[in-house]
Amino acid sequence: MKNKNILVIRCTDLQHLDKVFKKLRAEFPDAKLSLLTHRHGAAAAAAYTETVIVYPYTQSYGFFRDMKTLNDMNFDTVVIPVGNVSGSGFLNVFLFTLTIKTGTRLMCNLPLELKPLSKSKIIGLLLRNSLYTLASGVLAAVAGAVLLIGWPVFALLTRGGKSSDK
Amino acid sequence: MPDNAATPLVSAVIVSYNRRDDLRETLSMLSLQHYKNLEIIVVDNASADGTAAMISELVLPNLRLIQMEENVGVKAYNRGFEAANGEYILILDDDSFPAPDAIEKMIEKFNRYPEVGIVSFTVKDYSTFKNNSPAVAASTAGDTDFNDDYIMSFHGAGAGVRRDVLKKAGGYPEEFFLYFNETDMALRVWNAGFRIESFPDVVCYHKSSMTNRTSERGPFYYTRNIFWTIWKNYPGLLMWKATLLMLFYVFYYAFEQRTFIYIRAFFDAVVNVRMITRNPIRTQIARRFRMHYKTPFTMFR
Repeated sequence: MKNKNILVIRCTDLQHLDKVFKKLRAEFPDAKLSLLTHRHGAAAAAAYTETVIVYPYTQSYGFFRDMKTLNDMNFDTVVIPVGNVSGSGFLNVFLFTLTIKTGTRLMCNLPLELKPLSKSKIIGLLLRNSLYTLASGVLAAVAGAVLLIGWPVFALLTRGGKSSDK
Repeated sequence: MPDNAATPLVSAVIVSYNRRDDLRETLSMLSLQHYKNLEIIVVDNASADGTAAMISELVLPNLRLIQMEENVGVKAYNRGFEAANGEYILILDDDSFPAPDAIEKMIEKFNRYPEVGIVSFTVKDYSTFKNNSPAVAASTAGDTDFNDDYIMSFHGAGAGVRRDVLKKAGGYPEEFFLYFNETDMALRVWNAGFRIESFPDVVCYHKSSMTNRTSERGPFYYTRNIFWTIWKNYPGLLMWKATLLMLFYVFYYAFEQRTFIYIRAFFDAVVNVRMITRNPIRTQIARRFRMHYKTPFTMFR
């Protein structure tokens, strides 16, 4: 597998990122590692690599929040560090990687296993999770309505100060 | 070292629970600090592993032990804050420690930026620590380029707080017991008119497990406490919007991870809601705050 040009997407804490970079440098000693991070992580990212790319959005990575800068770049591999074993909770980042020109996608989990992520697997996850989205939307609306009805009791129980808004 | 304007007293507050050996290492690392006007307060949350005995055997100047009768969670930090005499308080975990030059740099930041109430340390993995070497070759350029598009919390494994900020904004929310306490405090600090900033050259090191977090403790307390943080601090419509988003995540990740833990945490938040007191912050602070709603759902399985 050709792995000369690797993009790491920062979506876990720096402690995990320390280990991920160590792992990647050991696995791919000749590769150029670039790091994509949100603006608040850019200064700290300079300690990892010379090539830091700043994600221009405040929000999480997303398929519809793609980047022009990345559209003009090609990578051999994109690495997505995840803060657990399964990658649960990182579908938005997986989908975001579909907007990047890359040969392969690797998920690097908490125990530092590198697991390939194919396009079809990501799309499969999207389809499955679309059902969860639908069901969760309905359940959240119902639970929210129940909370709203119970709001007077809720407000009484949490009675404190007034808003700080002047 | 005399306590004067150039070298103000710094109080390191560490809460420990059954991590005797890690705590010993943390204390040993604190003794390597270049900055010497330091008092160390260890609050032991009723550890059963001989932590208190280990502390009493240590011969470290300015080390004090506060012994709790039971494990009271983050409330123990507040006891440590109350006992602190320093102008600045350094919050540490029992398995984290600052780089040898970190406290010096923390004070430099506080002096340079009077509007900064909390200096959030850059928390690196323990394995990257090399004794007596510079923390990181990170540039301090960009210090003044504070991000005003969105504002953030701090890392409880390493943070410096001005004592007067702590007095004004209050300490950790004792009802939380564990997790997400930093965010609740951060909202109050921003609301009180101070900034929280992270600096790449102010570093601490933290141990972490390489294995999966199969324990339900983390996701439970994180989820419950995010609901409480929202209900305590967010004004009107923003509170409802955030609550609905969190409810959506609770059900979504319950399906995805085949677990009831998030739903249980939500019910616990509702059933015990009388434990919190609602004091909404300014709308503009709540709008700009980057809340990590998804954290509890990405740490489990």
